[in-house]
Amino acid sequence: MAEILKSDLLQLQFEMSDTIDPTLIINGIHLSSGYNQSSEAELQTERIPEFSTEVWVYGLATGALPYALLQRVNIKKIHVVILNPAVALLSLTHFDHSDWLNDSRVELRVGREENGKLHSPLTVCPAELQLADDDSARLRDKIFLELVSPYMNKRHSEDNSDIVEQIARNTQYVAKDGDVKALFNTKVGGSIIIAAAGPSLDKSLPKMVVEREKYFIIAVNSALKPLLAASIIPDLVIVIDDDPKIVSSFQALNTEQLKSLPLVYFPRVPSEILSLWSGPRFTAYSQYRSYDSIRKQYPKTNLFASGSVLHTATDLAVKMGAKQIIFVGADLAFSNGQIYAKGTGWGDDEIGATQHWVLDGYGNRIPTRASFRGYLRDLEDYIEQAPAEVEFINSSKEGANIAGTMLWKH
Amino acid sequence: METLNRAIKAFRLGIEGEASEALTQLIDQLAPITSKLPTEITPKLNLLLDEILNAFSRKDYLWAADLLEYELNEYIIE
Repeated sequence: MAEILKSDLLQLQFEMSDTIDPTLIINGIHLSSGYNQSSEAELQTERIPEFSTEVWVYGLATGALPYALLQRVNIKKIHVVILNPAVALLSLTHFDHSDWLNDSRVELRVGREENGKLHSPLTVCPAELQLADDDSARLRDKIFLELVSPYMNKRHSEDNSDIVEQIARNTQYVAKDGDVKALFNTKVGGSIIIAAAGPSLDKSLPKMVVEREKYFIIAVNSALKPLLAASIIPDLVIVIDDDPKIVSSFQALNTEQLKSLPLVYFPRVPSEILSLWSGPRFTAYSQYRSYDSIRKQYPKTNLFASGSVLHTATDLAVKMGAKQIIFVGADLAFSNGQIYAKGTGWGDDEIGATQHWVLDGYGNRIPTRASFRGYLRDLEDYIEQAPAEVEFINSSKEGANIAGTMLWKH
Repeated sequence: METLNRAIKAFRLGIEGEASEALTQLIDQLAPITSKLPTEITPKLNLLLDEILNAFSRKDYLWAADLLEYELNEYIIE
């Protein structure tokens, strides 16, 4: 509570709504329903199973949600996690919270002290995700991921006909291509660069050219063209997405130059990529159920996937035996107003208006996409659980700060 | 109504992708309905839809849910 009371309210613009169930509007965001807060809270309690005794509530809003949960006889403990102490202070000074705050089953916690660790079962006051402070950014993104994951996972279900059809089109390749496992433990103790296509790739290219022989370079598909344009031929290329846009990365390549270059792929990638590739191909699957059928038909090895090829490339590098993994161009944000490095063939017109942000390596907020934030947190979780002997390095402070990495010394 | 309820629920639970998808579907479904409304209603409904989209774009999701549940719903019932 002391943490909340010392908050600086000057950082927030706020007013009360003139609705039938008044709520606070903070920085343009309604903290709760302005029409029926108890009905809204009832809906939000649906995330908590009836038999739960200990639950986590992220954000207190106007207090209706913890109050609703306390009406359940099974509840023995509610941890209410404050994602922005200043927002909590505003709420505490504008609404009567005594009906839940004085209950001995309630424990108040502050997001910054959670170290990004998410507990469950959980429910959320969603407005507070938009109002979270910098110290709670990692926790906020994990909550966001938790909320959207069931919906996103539907895309990877066995029933997604687009993916099923795409995998069927690639079965002829999967049948004859190698298993990614053949690459495991082939770079034990080595330094592997994972080259992604974020804007900071541009600044790292000269160093990569000079020190080319020191590193094994895994290029994610979108980084292939910028690398080749800088006369860097990577040692391996990885592609996992089904987006037809990515085919452009593989067109007009010098096939003679690339004929010994391995390609690691998930069977959902556009078939044109596999037909265009002149080097050896290795299939990998992810843990998603959409691969269950082909996995049974042609058993091959899984790599970690969680939305971005960066995750899969990282898992591959770890399994190849790297002791040092260097992320280059892994910005996961719009650094300097750009999405991509030069030469990817993709423009920055996709940026559009964005309200999402992450902290860069300097501690400043930089714009990003909601999906990039999710990729960042899943990458951080992967790094946290990776073998302790593997060192993770980020080449730039201009993109999103990736927890668990050190800065590459130029 | 099913799409409307799906959008409202997704906004109130903070499920961004689903809310966005449901809102897009809802607006598509509303198009043929709005053309049949009395002419004096159409400008009011368009203003409301603008406000919903503005709330969505600034990520004021609970206000978007309120407008859908307590304002737009009235038009649909009428």
